[in-house]
Amino acid sequence: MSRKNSPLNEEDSTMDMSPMIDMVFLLLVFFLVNANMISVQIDKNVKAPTGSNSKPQLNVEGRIVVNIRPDGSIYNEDGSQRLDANGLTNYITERKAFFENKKERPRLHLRGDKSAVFRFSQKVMAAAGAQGIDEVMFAVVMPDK
Amino acid sequence: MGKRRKKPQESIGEMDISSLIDVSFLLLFYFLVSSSLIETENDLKMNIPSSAPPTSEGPSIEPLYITIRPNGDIYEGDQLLDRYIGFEVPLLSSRLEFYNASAKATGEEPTVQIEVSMAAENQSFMNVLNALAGEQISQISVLGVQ
Repeated sequence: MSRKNSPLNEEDSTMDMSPMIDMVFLLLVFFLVNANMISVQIDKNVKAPTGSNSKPQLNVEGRIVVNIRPDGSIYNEDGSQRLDANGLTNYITERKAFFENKKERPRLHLRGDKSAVFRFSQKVMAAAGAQGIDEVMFAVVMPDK
Repeated sequence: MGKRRKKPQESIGEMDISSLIDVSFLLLFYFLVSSSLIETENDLKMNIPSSAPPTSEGPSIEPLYITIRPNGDIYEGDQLLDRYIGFEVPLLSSRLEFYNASAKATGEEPTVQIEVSMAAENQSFMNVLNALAGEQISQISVLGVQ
């Protein structure tokens, strides 16, 4: 006998890793899917103001997103194009037509930086109102606890 | 010389997947962390009629007039309600609560007219809207003044 049989004799034990890998992939897919659920493009240059009574975004349909940066410049949804007065009107017209084609009710999603002055928000709301858009969603963040 | 024990017969095509598991964990942690880092934005929904008188049903309750001055302070007429400090507007909130209650008591829709100075910060305007949302008043009209 080359080896004594003893109760402490350890076998070569290899753990079957496949269930763990399955779990990891499941978790991964879960977070991947969840992370993409609410998709409104965010212009990172805008820090939204704080509002404790805000509700999470439930319906992302029909949102005409207008960004207002701290210096008051107005940008489109992904922040790629600066909008002047004409540009703003055209942008709203175009987005409104786009949503109406998709049979979604167009509304204004106003992402104004918290330190920008009201003048520019007023401009955007007036431009939207001139095209008959009465519903405005203001982007806010919850206060830090 | 003892023979080296042969390894048990390996199946064809066996792959060492420990690095794959490492990468999977890394990806998992990345999405775990990044999903909590992104500050998700919420909505404050308001109905801001662009054209004059929104209500078509008879006389409505006298609207509440709120003014936001350039420095962000909130007034009702000439009476100061709240200074612009942070996000809390307690006196405005209690005033709105009272107004809402009296509107509900008469069965009317509460409506608020806000006069905002063009130079007031968005946060001060949002403080007022937040207070309105807290009272579930969404019918408002906004006027920007110099």
